[in-house]
Amino acid sequence: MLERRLLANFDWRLLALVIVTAAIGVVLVFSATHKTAQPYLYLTQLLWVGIGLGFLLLILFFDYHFLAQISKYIYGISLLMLIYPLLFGSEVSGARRWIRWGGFSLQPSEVAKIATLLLLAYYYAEMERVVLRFRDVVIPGLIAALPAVLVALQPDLGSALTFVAIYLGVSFVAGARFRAIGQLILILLLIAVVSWFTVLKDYQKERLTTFLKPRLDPADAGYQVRQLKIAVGSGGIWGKGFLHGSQSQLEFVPAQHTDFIFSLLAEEEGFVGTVLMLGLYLGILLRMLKSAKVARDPLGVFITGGFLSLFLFQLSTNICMTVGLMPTSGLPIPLLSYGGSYMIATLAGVGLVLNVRMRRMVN
Amino acid sequence: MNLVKRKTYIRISLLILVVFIWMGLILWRLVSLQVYQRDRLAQRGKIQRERTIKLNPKRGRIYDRNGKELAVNVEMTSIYALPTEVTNPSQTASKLAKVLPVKRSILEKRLRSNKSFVWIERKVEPEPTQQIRELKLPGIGFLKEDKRYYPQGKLASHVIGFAGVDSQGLNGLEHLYDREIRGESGMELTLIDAKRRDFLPEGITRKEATSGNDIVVNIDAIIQYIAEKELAETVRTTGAKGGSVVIMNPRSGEVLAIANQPDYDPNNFARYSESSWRNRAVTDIYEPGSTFKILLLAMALEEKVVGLDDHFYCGEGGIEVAGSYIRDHKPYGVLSTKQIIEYSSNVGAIIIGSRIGKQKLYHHVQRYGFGKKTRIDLPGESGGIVLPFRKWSGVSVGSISIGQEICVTPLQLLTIASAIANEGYVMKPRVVKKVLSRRGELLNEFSPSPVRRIISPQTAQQLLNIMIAVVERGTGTAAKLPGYIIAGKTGTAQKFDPVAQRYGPDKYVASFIGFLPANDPVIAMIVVIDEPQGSYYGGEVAAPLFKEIAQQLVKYLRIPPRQRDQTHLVATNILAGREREGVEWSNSPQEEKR
Repeated sequence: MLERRLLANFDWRLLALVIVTAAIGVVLVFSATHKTAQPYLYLTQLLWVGIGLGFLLLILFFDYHFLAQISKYIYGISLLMLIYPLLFGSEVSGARRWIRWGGFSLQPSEVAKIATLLLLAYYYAEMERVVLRFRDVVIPGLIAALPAVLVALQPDLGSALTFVAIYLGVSFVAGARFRAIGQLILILLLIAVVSWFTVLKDYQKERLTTFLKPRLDPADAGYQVRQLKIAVGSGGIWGKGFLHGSQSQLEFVPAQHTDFIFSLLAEEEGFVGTVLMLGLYLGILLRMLKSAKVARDPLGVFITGGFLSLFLFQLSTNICMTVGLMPTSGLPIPLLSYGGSYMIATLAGVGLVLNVRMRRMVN
Repeated sequence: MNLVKRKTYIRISLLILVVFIWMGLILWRLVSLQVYQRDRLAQRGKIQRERTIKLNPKRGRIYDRNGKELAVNVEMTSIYALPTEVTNPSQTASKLAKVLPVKRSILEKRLRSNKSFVWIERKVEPEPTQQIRELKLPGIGFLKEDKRYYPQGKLASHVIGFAGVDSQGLNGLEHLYDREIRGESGMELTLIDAKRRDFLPEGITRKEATSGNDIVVNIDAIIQYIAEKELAETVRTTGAKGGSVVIMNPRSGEVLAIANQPDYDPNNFARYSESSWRNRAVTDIYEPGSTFKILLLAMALEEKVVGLDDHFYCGEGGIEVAGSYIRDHKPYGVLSTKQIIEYSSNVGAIIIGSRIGKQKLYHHVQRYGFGKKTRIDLPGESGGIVLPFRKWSGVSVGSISIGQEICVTPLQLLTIASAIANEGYVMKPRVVKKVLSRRGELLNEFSPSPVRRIISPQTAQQLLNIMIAVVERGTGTAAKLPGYIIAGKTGTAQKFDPVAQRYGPDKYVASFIGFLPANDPVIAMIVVIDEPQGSYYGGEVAAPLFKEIAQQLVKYLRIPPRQRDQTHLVATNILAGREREGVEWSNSPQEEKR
């Protein structure tokens, strides 16, 4: 049971910031979809937030050491789940990403992210080394690479890169030498160059080239980038008002309730809205950094630091994409974007951070 | 362990640094987009989501003085295509080509255009439209548009002019009064979504189009018809190059008819040569010849340099003027002033002209309005030519005296000469009578406006009497109409050949100008025949045409023939009389043809 001692160290502020952000997400999903064929999606999103908070609560009941110990099993199961859609899944817009079960569908890559994060943190914690040399990060590299490759096969390049972010993040916090990290990045770049000529699909290459030369094909591939810029910029300082974002409401901006929901916020609430939203995210990030600093043991630091990296990676890539600083690659924004698996995984991750924080004084 | 802790502390701090750098970067970008570029980007968004649809106004109608429709609108269907939605351009093109008078290849080119909207064919008749509708072709749409229609065909086409496919007045009154007739287009602002579907939220801007105003002209369709028919007949039988007839009310300056040859059908104006569109009576100049002599006499009488009963020796049948020899039709011997006009003696005219003198002749020619536009409400008017005084040569006085070396338009000469029938006043010629709103409210009415008085009433009466004599026993006997007194003057002018720089031996302009009935004129008419073949005298070519038209006019206008003492009863304004009989212009014209 949760003892009073645990509650004394509970990070209520982080939980509150997360709930507020998720609630704003529900409102934005309403705005993005109320005129479409699925005006009820905000209710579904509300349900996902509820289920996610349930998972968060469930995670709090178990000591994170226990969770770390069983992480290899979760990791194993998640790999099987990743293989399943590749073999039996039906294609949705050219990709096999989902496990469908009854009326529900699950995105196994989200499970795999949390599992990989836990397993990496556990691995480094067990190693008990102050300084990690290159050879020390090879096995964790393979742990991250396995799900990353499976996800890339779906194909889902954005999510595959997320595993790289988790890996680099945990390794960095765990104390990998800068030289080792430099070597890792070189290897990753090499893989990137090789896959450009072998694995990468044309549409993926196109997205990258459009970003570099948006005027190359203004009618097609540059369309997203241009529409996003117009949406964000036309919001101006004060925004066009809730439900009045013409760029989004008239569907000029694609995937406005999922990947590009931040552009809707920017258009309808303006610069003021985006700055306040960034403030909320900064609050969440700083609370998590604080948790990492005050964590009781390396495992706690690694879990918190790893999730922080994951969160920051997703947040920064998404916002950078939305404001035209990065090529669009279909990554959602944490806590705002519509999506069940993603919302639950994010809240579960927050649960892990809260778990580490509340158990900092135990023993 | 402590070491580990210190190390992780540093690493976490580095992460914090990363977070802040990233936040700063995003903030900088947001300031750039949402603060500095906000107007530009908002404008770009506005352009791509707003579509303005122009709402075309109804073009005002044109009626003759009795309410007969001269220009109206009929609703036609315009066919357009949205090329992106056309599934099979080549098949669609061949199907359309079977119905429409457009080549298959041209249609296919339009259907394959990369524009979002193209016209297939504007203003199509109902039957082919229905055939195309039944084909149910994807990407082909229909739009109602008004097409200008001239129900009287060629009638008064030079006055009315015509409007183009976008309802823009291109010629005649359609052009000059375009601002009045056209109306104001409205507009509708629609929002379109990314898939180019119209999206109409509440509060969309819509400004209705304002219909153009209707115009009533002084032209009388019946008089116009008579003039056109007879002119065409004369031009045909004489083999002339062209010709003009202008009929006015000399008292008011109201233009009752302007007929020209060659003419055209404004419903199919593009099928006629551009030269046939020209309103020659207003735009083309000619040397008036002997018709000018009556005005020359007006100047002489006003200057009192000749008396009506003066006699002149015109015996030799010719006269030398500064080295040139100007001939008469035949040697006349001694002629009185009246007879000079009656027989149209060139020698006599030159003697009268020389009595007026160079200075005074120039002064009067200017004062009468030669060389100046009459400012009639028709486009393209020419003011004629009067050489500036310093360019007058020794032969000028003689030439002008017989109506050469001076150029006029038929309308201009008629306008000036009409002063004789209007107690010496020149009236401003007017085509448009009034402007009505679409609902029939009177917006503007143009009342007769005198321009200047050029001669005294006494002189006018004297000149009228001389003109009566011209028709009774002079050169204009062919214009004589039994039962009526007509005042007139013939004219036969040699045409100046601009290529050869001399007067051609066989190119003439035959003309006749006259008033009817002479004792109280309600009709002033000029007839000009350009280059008739064979007989070319005004008295032989133009005077009979004048008579033909006059004969029908007196019937139509119910001008009673002269009987004993009733002469002066005729003097009532015939046109006003017609109105009393109930042929009056009605303020609620029939609804336009659909």
